[in-house]
Amino acid sequence: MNIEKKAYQLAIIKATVIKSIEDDIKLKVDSGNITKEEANKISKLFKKKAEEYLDNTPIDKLAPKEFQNQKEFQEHILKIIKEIKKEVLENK
Amino acid sequence: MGSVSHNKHTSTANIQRTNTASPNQRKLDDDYNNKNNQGISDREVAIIKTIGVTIAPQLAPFIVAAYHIYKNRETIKKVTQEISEGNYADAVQTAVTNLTINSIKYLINEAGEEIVDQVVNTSADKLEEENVFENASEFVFGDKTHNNLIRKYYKSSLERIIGEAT
Repeated sequence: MNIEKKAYQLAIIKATVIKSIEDDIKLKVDSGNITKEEANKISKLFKKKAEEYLDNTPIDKLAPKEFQNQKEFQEHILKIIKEIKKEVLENK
Repeated sequence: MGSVSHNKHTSTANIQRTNTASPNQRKLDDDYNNKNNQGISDREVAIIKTIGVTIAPQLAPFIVAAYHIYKNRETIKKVTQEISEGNYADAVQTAVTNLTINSIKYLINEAGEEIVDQVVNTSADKLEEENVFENASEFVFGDKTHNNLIRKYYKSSLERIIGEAT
């Protein structure tokens, strides 16, 4: 895989992780579990933690290969999101 | 993800795929058709293809590997020439068009670490022209408005990859 494709994969992974965090927090606000002010604070903190985690995870683990199709790539991203939530966000 | 060739020495070779092509042949055809900015001649392509597919199909993976080494060397040769002519913009363009880590390494050795910014920005501009970030934004966020965020992440990722490899 050339480095352009690798960088593209990393960019998509990072963006998807951030989007997932935003979605989770929005759900909490919509269901009345947290206020908007709390959401903003948590969102900022979680995004920072997630970015740090991704920046410290080896590139070859994040973008190990050229995926055969969109489904395979999405499954890989979901695995990373799950890991981040378990390792980083749920421990806060 | 497509790529745009800015190379003046584009080969005219374009191997046509036939419906009866074997998987090995199709792989080779794809590789050859992707090479169109490497300065490899039609004749050279035909020779490699004949050896790799017709005469000894089992050698196809090795032929493809050798071909990639050749491509890489050609890219570095071109980057070297452009740098020696003081044409850094073209050198960056060549390295980005043929984005291999070796050509980037060579470029950094010759032009210094400062060139990384230029490489990263040129590569991001190229993908932006091809609407890659807009499409990626749609893929992740469901609309095209987050293209700048994807571009930002692409740049930081490319910078990280180059930094770790050089």
